[in-house]
Amino acid sequence: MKKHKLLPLSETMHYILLALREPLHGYAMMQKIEEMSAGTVRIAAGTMYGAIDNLLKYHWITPVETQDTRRKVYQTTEEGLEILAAEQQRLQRILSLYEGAGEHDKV
Amino acid sequence: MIKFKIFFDIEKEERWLNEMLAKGWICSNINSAGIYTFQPTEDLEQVIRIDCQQDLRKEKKATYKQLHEDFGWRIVKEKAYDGTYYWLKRKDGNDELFSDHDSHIAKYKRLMKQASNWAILSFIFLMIFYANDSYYSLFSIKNAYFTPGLWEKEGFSFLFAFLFETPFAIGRFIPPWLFLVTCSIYITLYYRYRKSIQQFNQ
Repeated sequence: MKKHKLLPLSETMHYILLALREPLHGYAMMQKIEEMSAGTVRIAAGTMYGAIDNLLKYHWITPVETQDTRRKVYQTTEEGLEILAAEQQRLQRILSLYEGAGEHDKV
Repeated sequence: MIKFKIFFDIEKEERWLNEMLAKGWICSNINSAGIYTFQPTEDLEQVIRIDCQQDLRKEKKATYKQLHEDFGWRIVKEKAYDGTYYWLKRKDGNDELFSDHDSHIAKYKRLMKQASNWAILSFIFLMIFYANDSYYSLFSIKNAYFTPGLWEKEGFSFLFAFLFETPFAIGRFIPPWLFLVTCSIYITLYYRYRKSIQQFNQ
């Protein structure tokens, strides 16, 4: 199978998809991600715009209707959640290698 | 204060605008002829960043601008014809438009596309200029003089006819060269941006 352009997920994409399990607009997303990452990830405006644009293109996130006509609000789609689940498995595999060296055939 | 300057490379332009800011001059307007208007400012802790987004349609443009404004950026100038955006902000430690590897590379790719578009466009203009002409005349300033029998004239009548036509001849001779030079500058720029991407990937 041909590898998807956005896989494995970059740190930015990971945090955005995870943050958007609840609907948020761009700036709120940045604030939430800063909090989620304990201040280690602060996404800049241009990076946020590009990432949203990219994720919309693959339908991993979708715009959500709100009262705010100026700011767009987004949420992770079913497809996006599936991607997250697959990434979780991949990372768990790696984590188990960190934790139990030598037991790599267990998981 | 008004300054005239022509930039092909937006990274150099950005550096210059920030040097002006550090000296207390804030850019308030830029027009496409290369005229920069500056106002004096007390606030030296500001930063300008230039972004290139040539493919923004109407709705996307509104989203793009709103998002940047939410992040504290104020638009100084938007050049609609080539998608160049000048963003200004007070320094607060988050003074870049891009915070990760992928988005920096995507920016350089947009710049490469822009440079190649301009290179192709100036090449087309060069072709149009020379559609009915031979390329030989690109190198021969004599051919730019149209007065019949000019080069057979002598003495004062030559001098008069020659000087009279010189401004017109220059007007004919220079433009194709301008397009040729512009075209090669953009080709050079294209490869410079490509090199920046390679350096990022190392």
